[in-house]
Amino acid sequence: MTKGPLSRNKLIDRVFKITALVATVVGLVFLSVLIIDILIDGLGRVSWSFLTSFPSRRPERAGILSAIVGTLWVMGLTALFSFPLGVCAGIYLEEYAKKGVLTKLVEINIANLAGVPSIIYGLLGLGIFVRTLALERSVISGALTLTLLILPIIITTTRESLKAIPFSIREASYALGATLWQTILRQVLPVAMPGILTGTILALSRAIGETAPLIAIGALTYIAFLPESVFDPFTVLPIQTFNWVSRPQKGFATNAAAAIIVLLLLTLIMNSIAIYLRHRFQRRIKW
Amino acid sequence: MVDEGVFSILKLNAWYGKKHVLKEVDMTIRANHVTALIGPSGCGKSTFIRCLNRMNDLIPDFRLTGEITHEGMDIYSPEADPIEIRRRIGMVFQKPNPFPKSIYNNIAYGLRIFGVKDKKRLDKAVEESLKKAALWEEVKENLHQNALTLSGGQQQRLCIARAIAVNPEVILFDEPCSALDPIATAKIEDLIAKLKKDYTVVIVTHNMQQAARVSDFTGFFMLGDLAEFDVTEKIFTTPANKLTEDYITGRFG
Ligand SMILES: Nc1ncnc2c1ncn2[C@@H]1O[C@H](COP(=O)(O)OP(=O)(O)O)[C@@H](O)[C@H]1O
Ligand SMILES: [Mg+2]
Repeated sequence: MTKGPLSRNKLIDRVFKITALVATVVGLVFLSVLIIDILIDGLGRVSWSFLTSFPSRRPERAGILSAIVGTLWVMGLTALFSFPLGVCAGIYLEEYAKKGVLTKLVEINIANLAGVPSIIYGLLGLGIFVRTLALERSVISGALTLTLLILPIIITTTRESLKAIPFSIREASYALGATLWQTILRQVLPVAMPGILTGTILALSRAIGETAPLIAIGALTYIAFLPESVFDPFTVLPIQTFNWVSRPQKGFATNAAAAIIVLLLLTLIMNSIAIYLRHRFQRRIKW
Repeated sequence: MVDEGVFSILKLNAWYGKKHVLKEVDMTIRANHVTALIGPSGCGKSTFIRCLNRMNDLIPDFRLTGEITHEGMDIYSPEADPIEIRRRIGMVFQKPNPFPKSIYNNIAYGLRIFGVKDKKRLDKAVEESLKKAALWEEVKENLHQNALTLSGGQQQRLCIARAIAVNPEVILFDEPCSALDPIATAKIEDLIAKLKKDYTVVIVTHNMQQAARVSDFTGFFMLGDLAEFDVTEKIFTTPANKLTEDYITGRFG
């Protein structure tokens, strides 16, 4: 019984299990070290005054007010632009577009766009929004650039969520004399919505940490005022952090760590919402 | 079958891509009677019944030739509106498929999509159709409960109520009991027998006893051909076709 293929398979199984375990532990250890390190460096600095002060040349007086407000503005607008656009495009491609060579081509391109490095979107945004449309280095240019960045993800998520709805639901609706549009709007979309929202929030939480495309369109690193309209210049948390990290003084490094904690917290909140939605989605739908 | 029926089907041929699944089918379906369609699986019963309310339109490479007239109107003519046809010719599927909504909203949906907003009218339609589907007594306290919490048999009766609510003339059933236990099946059979007072019923079943119990006419399909179509009693006692006899006596299928 010791040399049969069965015991060999068992051995392979054991080896694989241990390898996978080690890989997981290594990942977790590095992540925890990173987070603990940042918490040690920055947690003491996170305070109400840090959240409500403008950046300053003196690290102990500097805060992230303009970066937080900028991040909220940009993310809000990005959500406003990307969600309806992405969902409509997804619905069109999944439900209305004739399945042909052209649609296939568009589909492949969208899938590929999701993998394009974000700096490319920054350059695109610089060319189109900042220069051609003369929107300058404004909140709206930033939001539109990030919209381009996450649009492919939202379109893909929408299509996947629509695909996951059982055909029997559509049949039931058509058999009552519903049109395609009624079926989508009243039956398919409500069931698909938690999935679409989950994907959108995850896409947004990717966008919230993006630095490269916003630097490419020329978002400022030092802003001592709040944007009053979408056409004003802005900064965001990752850019503010980036700026502080590159300063020689120790105090700014602490500030950077504190800003990272705030950014992590924001991302964590968004991801929790996404997980909550997914959980509800799975619980409600059992055919 | 000399008299005019609600449906007259003439030389119906149907294909999925290149696959020829219905061949030269002629049939007349009578109003306020139950017509059962039997035959071994894969012989085209579902395809046939789904031609009657244009549900096959949803399948991309489906194609048919021949003529199906409902109340004198060719339902595949360019003027025929599939939306209108499906409202007049309802359907209940093999697997109960309630919407993941409340019982009430499942039934109200069909009326709402035709613009009925009046709460009283909706309430009344919900109650009446649940009563006709013999489900009212079981759910009247819980109309706002999610329909997916009902048992399989209750879900299927809900689907029948949902079909009834839009006030169709015909109800098509595609093996409505194949996912149900015997008690639930008996309830649905009772119901079907009652429904023919108000509706024309066409039912696909692979349960021969069920066809014999509930139907007035029976069609026997075999590899896409309508091998025999006659009064149910005749089909089950003195079938004209040897194949029919072999099938109903359980020699194959
Ligand atoms: N959507 C489809 N695409 C291709 N072939 C199909 C499709 N639906 C059914 N068929 C084929 O058509 C034939 C008849 O099927 P169906 O009408 O479902 O038979 P039944 O309901 O009598 O079991 C079968 O051979 C089946 O494989
Ligand atoms: Mg079938």
